[in-house]
Amino acid sequence: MNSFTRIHKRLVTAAVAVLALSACGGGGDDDASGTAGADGVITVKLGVVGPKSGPASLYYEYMDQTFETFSDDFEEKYDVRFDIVSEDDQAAPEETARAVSRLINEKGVHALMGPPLSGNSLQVADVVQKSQLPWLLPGPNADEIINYDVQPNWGFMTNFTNQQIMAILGERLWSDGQKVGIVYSADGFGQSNLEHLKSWAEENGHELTAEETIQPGASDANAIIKRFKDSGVDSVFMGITQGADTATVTRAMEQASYQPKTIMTTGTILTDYQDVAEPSQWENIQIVDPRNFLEGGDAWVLDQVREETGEEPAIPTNNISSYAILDIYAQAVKEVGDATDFEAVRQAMEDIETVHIGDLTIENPFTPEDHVLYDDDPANWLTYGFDKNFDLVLKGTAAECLEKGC
Amino acid sequence: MDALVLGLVLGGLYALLAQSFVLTFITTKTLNFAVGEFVALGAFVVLAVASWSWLPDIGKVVVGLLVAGLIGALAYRFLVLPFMTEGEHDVRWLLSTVALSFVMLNLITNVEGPSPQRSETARLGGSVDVLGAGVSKQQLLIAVLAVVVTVLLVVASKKTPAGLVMRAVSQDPETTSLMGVSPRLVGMVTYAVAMGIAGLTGTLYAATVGASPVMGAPLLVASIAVAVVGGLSSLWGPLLGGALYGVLSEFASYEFGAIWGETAGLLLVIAVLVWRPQGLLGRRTEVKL
Repeated sequence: MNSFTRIHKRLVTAAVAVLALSACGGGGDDDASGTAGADGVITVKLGVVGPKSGPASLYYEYMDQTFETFSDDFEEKYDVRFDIVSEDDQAAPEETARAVSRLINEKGVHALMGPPLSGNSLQVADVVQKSQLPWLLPGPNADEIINYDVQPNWGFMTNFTNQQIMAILGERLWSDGQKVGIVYSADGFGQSNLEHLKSWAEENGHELTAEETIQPGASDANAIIKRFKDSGVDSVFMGITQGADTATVTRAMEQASYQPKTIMTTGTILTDYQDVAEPSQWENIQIVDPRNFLEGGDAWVLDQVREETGEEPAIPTNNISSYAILDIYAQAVKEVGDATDFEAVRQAMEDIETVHIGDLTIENPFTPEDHVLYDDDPANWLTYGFDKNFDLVLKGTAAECLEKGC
Repeated sequence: MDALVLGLVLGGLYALLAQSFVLTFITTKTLNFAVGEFVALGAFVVLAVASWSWLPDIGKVVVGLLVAGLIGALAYRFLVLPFMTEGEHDVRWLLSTVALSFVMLNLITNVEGPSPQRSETARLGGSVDVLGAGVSKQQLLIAVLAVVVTVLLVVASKKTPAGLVMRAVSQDPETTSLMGVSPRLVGMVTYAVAMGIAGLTGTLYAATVGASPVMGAPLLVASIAVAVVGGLSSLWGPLLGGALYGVLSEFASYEFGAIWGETAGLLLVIAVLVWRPQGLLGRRTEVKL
């Protein structure tokens, strides 16, 4: 064997080893019994699944930032310590299924957090429901993830759902007889947005004038905008997962001198949009969200993340949602005193009286038929615009904006 | 008219990248499936030197092109050449370039993070009116560059000694090597030029969409399609393929919705493969048995 071949073999072996190691999960602590130790602290083995690597890794990073920032706080407040057992699904559906199976069957986790993307969560929903483990969902928005026909239900969502945002936005989008078009990303989040917008329109006697999909990373959206223009659409909703794809759409709008009266989107624009867009492209965009990013408990969470990690919150909406779900779960474990009594913990989560997000409190958010933290009262949702630096500007509550315009 | 203009401009982007495939195929009969990552590499290298205020933008673009070209030459030497030693049916290079794609993607992601980063180098803001259609100046620049690069490559291949050597190696590497020409060196140079073009595409494209590790991936399918439609053995092929693919996909998107754009382009590929497997401008190779 010549030396070149030997070097090749070594390189290949090293590469295989690195790839094998990177595919393995991280964390795990033998002391994570789920019951109180000598120090009175309950160590919970929390399985976390998400894209630790790959292009969607921001969707893992926000969970990571939340653990890094608040783990000590939860231990201090509730005597609950999180031992994180993580699995990298690279946002690939087949990897998600494997990762969830590993966490449940091999790692013996006491609760499962993630996956953060709607499509991946939908894929494993039945498996997790059957596993009868508390399922913490701070990221996904698709209502379909939780099937309330199955009781007791194990999933708890602390992000808003697509059905809720459509209930908030519908009147606004169709106000003054505007023609509405939706551009949505070709994934679970986008598809769920489309379905809920259509069903809201149907229930309320409206019609969706145009619906267009955008592929992740699409090089242009000229045709989408042209079709909107030709259809007379003057109210646009963008249900797009990645801010960079939203930028592709707004770039095409500017290029075609297309200026609809209303352009609404979700908090996903807070990630990846600003760096690839121009102020002239975002000046008329507004978002609605149940969280107050500018003051109070929600803003405190974001400030804490910045202070502790030295980084910007990876996905601000979901950083807050992660804090909320961990607060709920830690309270439930403290109340039950045993994280391995899964049904008791689930019940305690369902019966929780107060969720704390900094100094913000949310009372009695859950019932057996409602495992979503937020409600769809427009008076509780906020409408934001952006200044030229892409800083959020509070326009008023969704109800106020509906009543007097924003 | 909008579909025609915007389709031609979009086709220019795909055509520029498709030259990377055509160049390597003509000379070495291989395709580098890590081209998408070379697109990102070029963009990030330029981003890394963006703060060198003493260097004009064109110099920064050249740095990106050279680094991508150098890595491309090394990729050929160590990841393609060793995996094509068993004759023309030895296609292990296919796996090694796919592996390179994964490794580069993960390396770039780990170093730069997954989010797009703004790139101001060689950026032309705003849009211009072309026959009534609003066209981004940046996209127009890329399309014009696709034509310029193609013309330069054609002229270089026909009028220069290096081009003669390249064509000789592409037709008969064994005989050429008996005449003192190193097919290995020619392959490395070709890969350097091809990956340099990919890096250049990345730099210019990043000025629109931002530099990100996955920025090349969405271009990959369309670029391969364009190269196949035009003919992998023709340097003019990408321009024709790009024009047809771009116009057809824009037209289909306008008429039937965005989801049908790429589908229409890929149907064109199938049609061309059935009718002229060598591509519209490709030459059929007859082999005596």
